[in-house]
Amino acid sequence: MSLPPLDDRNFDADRQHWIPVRVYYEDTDFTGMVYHANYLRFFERGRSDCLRDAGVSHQDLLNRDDPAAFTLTRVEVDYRRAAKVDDFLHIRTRYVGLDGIRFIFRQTCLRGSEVIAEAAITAVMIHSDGRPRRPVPELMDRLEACRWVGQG
Amino acid sequence: MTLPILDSKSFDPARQHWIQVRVYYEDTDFTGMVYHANYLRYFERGRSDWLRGTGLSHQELLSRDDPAAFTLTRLEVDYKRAARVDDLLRICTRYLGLDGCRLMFRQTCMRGNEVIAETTVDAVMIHPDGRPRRPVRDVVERLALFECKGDRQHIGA
Repeated sequence: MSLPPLDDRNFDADRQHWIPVRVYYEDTDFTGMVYHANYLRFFERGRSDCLRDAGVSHQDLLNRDDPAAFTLTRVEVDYRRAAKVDDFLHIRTRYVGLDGIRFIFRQTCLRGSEVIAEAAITAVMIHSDGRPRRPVPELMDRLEACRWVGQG
Repeated sequence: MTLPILDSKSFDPARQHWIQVRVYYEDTDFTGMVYHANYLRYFERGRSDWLRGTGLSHQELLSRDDPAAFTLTRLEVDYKRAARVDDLLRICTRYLGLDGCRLMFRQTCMRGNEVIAETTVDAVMIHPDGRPRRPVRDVVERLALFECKGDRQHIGA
């Protein structure tokens, strides 16, 4: 599969965000396949770069007068196929929107057109001491501008 | 919390398997909390040690005439509280049995009496080249001795 055309912030026309991920030795386990927990690392890179490209930086959030960060409250992963060393993968990230104070993401790990794994992620914003907080308003505006607009 | 009484294989009377996990620098991220993906590593240690407790091991399964391994097909994790460096955690592993080809597990990460994270995990057996295979009969029969009864209704709830 060739990637859809991306803008200079790595979003496609449906506002899906894309990053490439190469599989290295360190990502695999003794079965020769990518270790299951490492897909969560790949997905996290996808969300971090999606936020970065949307104009949201983790460091800027922490440097605020009222420091803020993200934490996950729920993860669901479906493993469809195995990825192996040297594979060239893509992480496609859809910011689905806010549900109360919860940020909802849907992500897919692809090898060409093959789905390797899919994830549904729920995140909330927290104070630096870990207590949940309402989302930071200007961040919500930036994210809203990058909310996925596709169907399905 | 005091641990329930464990047998020599770290099973309690309800056939729940327990391991201890200490949180190190390497487990945490810049927020000072355990990085979310690392709970999956803890849970995997719990399942591997559970398997060892049943008398099997990954290496033994791979050394069979018909080599076999496990792979995950689905997992769900609910993160309830944050764990931090130096915390002493416990992973409780419950094997819920087979559903078709899927081995079903439910696991909890505890700090004392506090639930830090909970997971449900579906695994299948595969050939070493990654192709799915039916669960190996003698393996499944062994594992069935360690099934936790009466917990199945909680799956996916």
